[in-house]
Amino acid sequence: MYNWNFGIVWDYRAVYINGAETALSLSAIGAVFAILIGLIVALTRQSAPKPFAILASIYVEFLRNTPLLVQIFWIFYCLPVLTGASFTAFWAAAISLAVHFSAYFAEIIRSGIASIDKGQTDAARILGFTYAQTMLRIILPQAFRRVLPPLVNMIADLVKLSSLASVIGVYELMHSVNNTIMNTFRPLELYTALAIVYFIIIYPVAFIARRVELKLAKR
Amino acid sequence: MTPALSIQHLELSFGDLDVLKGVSFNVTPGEVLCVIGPSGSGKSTLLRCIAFLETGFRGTIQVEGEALGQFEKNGKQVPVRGAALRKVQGKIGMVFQNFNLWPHMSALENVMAPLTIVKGMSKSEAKKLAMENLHKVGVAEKADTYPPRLSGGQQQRVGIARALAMQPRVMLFDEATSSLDPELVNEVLGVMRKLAEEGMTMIVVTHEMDFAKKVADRVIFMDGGVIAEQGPPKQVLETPREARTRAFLSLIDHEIGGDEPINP
Ligand SMILES: Nc1ncnc2c1ncn2[C@@H]1O[C@H](COP(=O)(O)OP(=O)(O)O)[C@@H](O)[C@H]1O
Ligand SMILES: [Mg+2]
Repeated sequence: MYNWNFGIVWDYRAVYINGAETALSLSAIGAVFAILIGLIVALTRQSAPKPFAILASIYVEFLRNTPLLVQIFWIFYCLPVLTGASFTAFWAAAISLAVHFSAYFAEIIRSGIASIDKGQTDAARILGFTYAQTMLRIILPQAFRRVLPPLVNMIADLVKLSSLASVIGVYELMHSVNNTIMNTFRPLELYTALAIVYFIIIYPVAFIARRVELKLAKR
Repeated sequence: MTPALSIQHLELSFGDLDVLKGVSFNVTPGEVLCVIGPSGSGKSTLLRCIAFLETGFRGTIQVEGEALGQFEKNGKQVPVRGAALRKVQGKIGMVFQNFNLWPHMSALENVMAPLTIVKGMSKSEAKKLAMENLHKVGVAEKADTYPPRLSGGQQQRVGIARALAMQPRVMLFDEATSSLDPELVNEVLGVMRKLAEEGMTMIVVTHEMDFAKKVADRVIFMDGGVIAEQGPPKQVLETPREARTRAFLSLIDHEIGGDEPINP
């Protein structure tokens, strides 16, 4: 019978706290830029001249059909060689998450925009709104409400997959806990605690999103 | 006198489909023009060109003498875009069959948004003007209600208030009452009639023949992308010259036959 010793988790709580901090900032930076890039890509596919729209779809298809793990390695090892720019493992991972998930966010945002009735745009245009004003004030606020559930699911996925940053040595949760296990030989306690910490981070995101969704639906 | 609206040789096709095949007419300031005609004859497309929601047309549209979207110079179409376009487009107000209110904004916000965003008015100024216009169309007490909770008639009146608040020179109505329950039609027609009496220049696409008879200064009958017949309402609606106008009118009569007469 295995002799459980969860006291060890408490002893190494700093590992979890620091790891969670890094995982969260990695995810936050990744998510913010993923949504921004996704928005630009979605608008390009939707309204830009054909060559740009085609480039944007190639971008989306390429990123969705290659593994994130490969993208992380590529950005960490190949991009610096090709561009001469060098960045830390943390930033390589953040860029990878942003780029990879931007493709998914682009699709979600595009479907949201496409679901808004064309009459909404007609009304804005005849009242003198510019393209940017129409998007920002009329279309995107409505589209955003409609795609909130898939958007939040995708953010939760992003947080989960931020654990892949461990492969290039970013001291986020996964990597930090792996290291600790090498020193303590206590994988059962430490991995169990790791799963719980991820749950504590990710569950509230989904929970709050559901509340917001209900509130918006009531109006 | 400069016409409020002048349309010359307007043509538009969607791919192979010629929808407008050379439409020309003028509208004098204060005139109420009703456009009737069978479904698919190009009435909506005509209004959408005048609103510059359709952009690929040939010919010219002038609003108070200013070219909309393009003008002809040495036989070539020169485009007018950006702020210069929006200035001319801003003289046109449009009311849609499906209202097209913005559902994420209250009735008041729907009317205020163009005032603050497009005209750059302060919130308080915009609110005052918006309330005046909501009052005018009789929905001031619904100012804080969101469109999904308004009846169709109320939504359409908010739509009219939203257009009016921008102080357009010409108002376009595209079957403004066609998607309303019959008992709500009159409240909207009443507002439109009041506007006409105040001297607003209006182009009204409608199937409400009674409204056309009583309110219009002129009726245009469109068929197959051209103006088939036009004249004073009495003449076009009661003693039409063209066989196809007669056929259309008897069809309409047939459809609404037995209904209550409409008294806007
Ligand atoms: N965006 C469009 N693309 C292709 N065909 C269109 C489009 N809008 C209208 N049409 C066609 O143009 C014709 C005229 O339409 P419309 O102006 O809506 O007629 P009406 O308002 O008189 O019923 C119809 O055959 C319609 O199918
Ligand atoms: Mg129509």
